[in-house]
Amino acid sequence: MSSNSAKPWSITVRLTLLYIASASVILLSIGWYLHQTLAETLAQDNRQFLLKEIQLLRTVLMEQPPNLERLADEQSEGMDLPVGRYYSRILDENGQSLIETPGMSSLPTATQFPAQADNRTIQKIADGRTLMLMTAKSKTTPQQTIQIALDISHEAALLAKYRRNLIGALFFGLLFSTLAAIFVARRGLSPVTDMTRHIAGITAAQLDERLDPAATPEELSNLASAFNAMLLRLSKSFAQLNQFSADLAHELRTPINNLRGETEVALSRPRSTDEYREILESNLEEYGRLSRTVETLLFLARAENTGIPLHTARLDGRAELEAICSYHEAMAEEKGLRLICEGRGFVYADAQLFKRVLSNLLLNALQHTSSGGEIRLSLRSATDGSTEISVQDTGCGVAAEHLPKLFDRFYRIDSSRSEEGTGLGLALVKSIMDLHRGTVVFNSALGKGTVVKLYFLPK
Amino acid sequence: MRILIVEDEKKTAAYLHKGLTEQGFIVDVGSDGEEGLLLATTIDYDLIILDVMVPLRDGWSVLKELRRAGKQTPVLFLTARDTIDDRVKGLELGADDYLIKPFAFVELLARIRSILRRGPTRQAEYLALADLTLDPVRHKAFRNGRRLDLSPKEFALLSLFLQRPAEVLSRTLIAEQVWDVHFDSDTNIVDVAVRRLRQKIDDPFPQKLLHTVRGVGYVLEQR
Repeated sequence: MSSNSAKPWSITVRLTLLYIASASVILLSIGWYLHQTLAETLAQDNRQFLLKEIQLLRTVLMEQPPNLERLADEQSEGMDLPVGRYYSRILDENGQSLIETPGMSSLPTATQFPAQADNRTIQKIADGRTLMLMTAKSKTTPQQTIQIALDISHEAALLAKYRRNLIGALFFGLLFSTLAAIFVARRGLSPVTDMTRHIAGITAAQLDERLDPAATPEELSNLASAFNAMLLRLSKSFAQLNQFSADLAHELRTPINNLRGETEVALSRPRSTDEYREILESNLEEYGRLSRTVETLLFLARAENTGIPLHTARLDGRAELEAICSYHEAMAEEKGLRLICEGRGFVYADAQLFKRVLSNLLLNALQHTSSGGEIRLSLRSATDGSTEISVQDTGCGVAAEHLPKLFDRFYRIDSSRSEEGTGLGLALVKSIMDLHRGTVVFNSALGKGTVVKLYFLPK
Repeated sequence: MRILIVEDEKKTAAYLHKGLTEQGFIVDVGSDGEEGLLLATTIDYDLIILDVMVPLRDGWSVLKELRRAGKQTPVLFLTARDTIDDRVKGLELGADDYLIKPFAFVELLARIRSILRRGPTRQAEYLALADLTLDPVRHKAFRNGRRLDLSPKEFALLSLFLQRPAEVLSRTLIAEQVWDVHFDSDTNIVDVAVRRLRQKIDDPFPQKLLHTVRGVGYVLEQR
């Protein structure tokens, strides 16, 4: 999670900025293009016009010597126009002015005209007028030079106005697109807001609520599905936890009830020392059971939070099996059962926890196998260094319906809880195997017996 | 033998005081860390039983101050929170042992005795009680001159009892010492083993030596 200082921009802000940026680029490009097209069109028109005039003047200049009167006549035409007046000047081969339109003197001097023929320049002169200047040579000898100037102030003003309008339009366009961007972003993100509101309303009591992925847009439906999956996991854990608390309460209630009842009855009238002793002794047994339950629960809780460090070592598997068999031997003999150890190999495990796992499995086997049966512990090392240990009995077996729940805490096949033990044995086995990152597999057939296989990882 | 108990829980302190006094110890009780430290530094005790969570000054701090003051009195920690950190911390600070609540009283007694007994323990050449004798070197046991036919684990069990005559041994301690099994399991495995041992060493003879202390454990003694 990033800290507050590095909090990323909101999606609304991002979308708005991106939208504004792209709108600006598009609007500016269009504006620039329109302006350029208009300016170009006007310039082309003017050039065409000037070329036509030059053509006319050239025709007149074909008469030799130059017919100054016709020239003046021709030139004066340009002065009569309301807009787009044009001026011209004819220079002889020495650069001396032969004839010029009245008012030409106020125009730029000859040298400011482009030296190269057929070039044009646009100049703004002192009185504010804008002119298009062009130079051409006559096709006579001696060659005269034609200088012609077109007043394009009108067009320049038009273009300037157009530019102003365009900038104004761009400005308002951007303003509107910003507002539109904010609106669109908000509108576009509304499914997210809706989802957030929905999720915020889910409390521990309503873990069975679900989002409808079909009703959310495609982009969010994956998120909705993932969220639903998380809710499912949470509600499962919650249900488990609830069940566990209920079981725990029940588990503690029975011994506490016994203790309380026995003590109350004992105190209800005076009794002999022997009677008191017996009651105290019976109580002590209950206390022992209670503290073992608590100890095991604490172990399980800590194992789940991985708070138990493993003292993993390379164990001689056969020796460990025989040691744990010797612990249970007396009991097996009492029950008329045979304990068999077979196989060799090394196991990488915590020695005490390894014993505890095997002891729990052996106790189950001893409890559920009748006289004359046998319990076989076998060990097999795979080539990759992993080890499989199986505990096989010829006992009564477990019905298939119980198998999925066998490793749950306090799960008992006989629901009356009359069986011996805390009901935590197999949960402990599972927990210890999880700590070792190993696995445990429980196979059983009613009437035939049970095989529990433990897989330990290589080092 | 003088023992100091530092414990704020009144019921715990009371039953520890009573139980240990009856076992022949002279017992003082400090009900908070400061009082405990004061007592521990002014009187020479043979052992201090220290609860970790006591008011004013916690058990660790008491132990630290005690060692700083140069007192090397053995310390046994009692704690209700058995996180690994707690154990390591206690032992690093120089505690001699720790016990996690709830514990069996005989368990505490056994630990106290083993701390007080500490030092090189020689393997006895010859163990005996009444007419029961055991030769650890040649791995033979006799009662009333008759050779007893014991399995190796039964032999180990008997020698444990003979090493600690008249001491009540809990099932936990027996499982630890004989089978190296360091967890309480909800079974009567130890009872079965003791019963089978008893069949061999007691049943054929009029004088019974191995007695059950119900709910607590077993004791080997002449009654």
